[in-house]
Amino acid sequence: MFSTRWICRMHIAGRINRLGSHRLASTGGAKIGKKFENMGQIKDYLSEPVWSVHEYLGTNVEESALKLPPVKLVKKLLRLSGLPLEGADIEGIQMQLAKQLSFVNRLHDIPVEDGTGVEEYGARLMPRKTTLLNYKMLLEAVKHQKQDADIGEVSGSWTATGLAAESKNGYFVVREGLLKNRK
Amino acid sequence: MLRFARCYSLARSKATQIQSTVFRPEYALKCGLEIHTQLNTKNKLFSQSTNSATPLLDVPNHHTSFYDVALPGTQPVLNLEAILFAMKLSLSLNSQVNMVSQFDRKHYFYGDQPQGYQITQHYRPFARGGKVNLSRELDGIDELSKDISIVQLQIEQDTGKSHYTDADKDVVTLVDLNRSNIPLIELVTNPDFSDIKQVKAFIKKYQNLVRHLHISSGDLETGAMRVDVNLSINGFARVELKNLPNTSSIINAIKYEYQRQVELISRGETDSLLEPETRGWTGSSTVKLRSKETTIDYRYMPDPELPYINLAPDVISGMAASMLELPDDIMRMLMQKPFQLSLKDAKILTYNGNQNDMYNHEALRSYYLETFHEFSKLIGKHSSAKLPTNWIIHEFLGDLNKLQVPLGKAQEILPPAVFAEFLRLLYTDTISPTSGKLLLFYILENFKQSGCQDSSIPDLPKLIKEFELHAITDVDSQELMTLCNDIIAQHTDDAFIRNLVSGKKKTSLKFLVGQGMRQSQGRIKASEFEKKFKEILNIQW
Repeated sequence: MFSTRWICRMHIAGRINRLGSHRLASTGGAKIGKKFENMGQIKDYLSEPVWSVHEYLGTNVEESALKLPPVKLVKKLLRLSGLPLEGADIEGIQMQLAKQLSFVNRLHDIPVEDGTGVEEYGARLMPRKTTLLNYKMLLEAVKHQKQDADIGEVSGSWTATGLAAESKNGYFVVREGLLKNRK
Repeated sequence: MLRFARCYSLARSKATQIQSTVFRPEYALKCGLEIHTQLNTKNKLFSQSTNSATPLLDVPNHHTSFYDVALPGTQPVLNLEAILFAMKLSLSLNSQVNMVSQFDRKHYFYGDQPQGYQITQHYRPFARGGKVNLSRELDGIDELSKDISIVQLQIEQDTGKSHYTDADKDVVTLVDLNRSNIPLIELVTNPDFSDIKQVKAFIKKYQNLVRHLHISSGDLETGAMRVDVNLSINGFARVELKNLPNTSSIINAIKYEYQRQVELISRGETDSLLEPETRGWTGSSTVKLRSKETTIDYRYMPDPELPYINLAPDVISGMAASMLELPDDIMRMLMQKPFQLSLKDAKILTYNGNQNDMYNHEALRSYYLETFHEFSKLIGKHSSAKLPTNWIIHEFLGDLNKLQVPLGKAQEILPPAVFAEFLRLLYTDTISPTSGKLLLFYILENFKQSGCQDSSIPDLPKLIKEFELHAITDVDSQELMTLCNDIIAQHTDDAFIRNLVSGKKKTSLKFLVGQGMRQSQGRIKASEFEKKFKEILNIQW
């Protein structure tokens, strides 16, 4: 139940966001609901309580009952994420991570719809049953490849470095400090 | 100056060391390869932006979509052409294709990796198993036959390219994302290699295979194919060698690393060989890049934005039915009757050296086979297999290269049936080989002078008559005698004759025959000259 509704909502969001819609359409598994006629219907739909945030976020769990990840692990994660260790609020991060872990653990325990043979832990956001690709479909898809200039797929249709804070002769520029000295 | 000289001598001693590396049975080498191959699909892996065939000539960041530069909000859409290419490779390697495979994220931070992760196949790769057979006959390895088994094949996206600068100490990295998101296949072998010849043969064979299947340019120099080596000696920990840009680097790095580890083991200093490490190749030595303590934790996770690749069984059967004959089978076919090509000639027709603009091996092979077929029809037997081989692979190709005429163009005036007729003239001694060479070159040169525009088929009998190229079958004995006597008078002295007649310098006869051929412009057979010279000089041997 959880996964179906979630995908359904993402797709509605996709109607608003062109990029999202374009990408999701290709997954072939998202369900399309009835078309909304007015803003009121959208508001009603979104305000309909499906699940409680508190139930999952662990905000109804006593902080003292949360299992904190060890400091060593937090520091390792900061390093892996390219974030500075200096001045980091380790205790605060420990608590935030503990809440996130509690949330993820709750998600892993939710029964999965049509979950025959699927462990809750192995469930994914993507549809579990994807379209079977046959040989003809593959050949057809290859034959009809199309570039979309609206998302920059046509070479030279946009300047990739145009949004960058710094560029040089058409290259993006990365300062050495970002690549090294991360520890 | 002194410093320079010392460095030079050091470099030389290292090079000599690599050259003279001897593989010793008491230090058993165990080696595996990881090969990344860029697929030459029309578009990229998770977007439809152009997968350029000329990366070195491209303007930086020209072939990049919003997704390739990881603009927030963009999502991947799989290019199904990559699936077909991976399928081709898997089938040709006898690998077991997973009917359901998936994409996973491999996280690490680097400037040329804008997403912060690479999409690869970690948990369920595209295919597992399979093998490449190496043989003494075709690949020149020491063993009669050796199978290199394959662990898995996975599809993944390439990263961008970093160019490092340090101008004026303002150290920056310039990043070009044209390469970002180009499809790659990573092939991992088991550690089945036990010597350098096998590694060399495998790389050559795999490179030719991807070219043969038209799924990659297979070029090491442009980075379309990148090879990492895993190596261990006597069961010590595995060392991974990276940054190996070409075959000689791969070979020299293995030799150097083997030598380094053998020295450590023989001195009993094996502490550093107990944990796996990654080493890079500097061009003359290997240097430590990472060890276990600094191993990157890639935090693999299934990609939540990409559905599983769920293949119907007919994808395998459909692709199998459309597969080309594989290079080893073609080689064996060419080396057997009726063609009986040498290994070298069979390779010219099977391997894409990728260095010649005048022809490609596939077009040349089909030209050769068709001409052979036409020629066999004309003479009704296969006893002269060497004639088509020598004249097509050696003379004809040589002329095309010399005159810079592409095979595709030359075929317009010399289609297989006409070339077969030309071969028949040689076979029946209507023209001598020397006249044949002149005639072939004349035809192609004339064609070239017309700007390759005049594609009328040459009238061979007419040309032979016009230039008096027909072989003189009925040679006047007296005339031949005079010609031979003139040659002896002009080109020999007493010592020459003495050594020739006594048999001390038999090759001198060939020199005289050569002079005769030259003066008769090849129209009189060499055997006629040989007979006459022996008669005049009373040569008994």
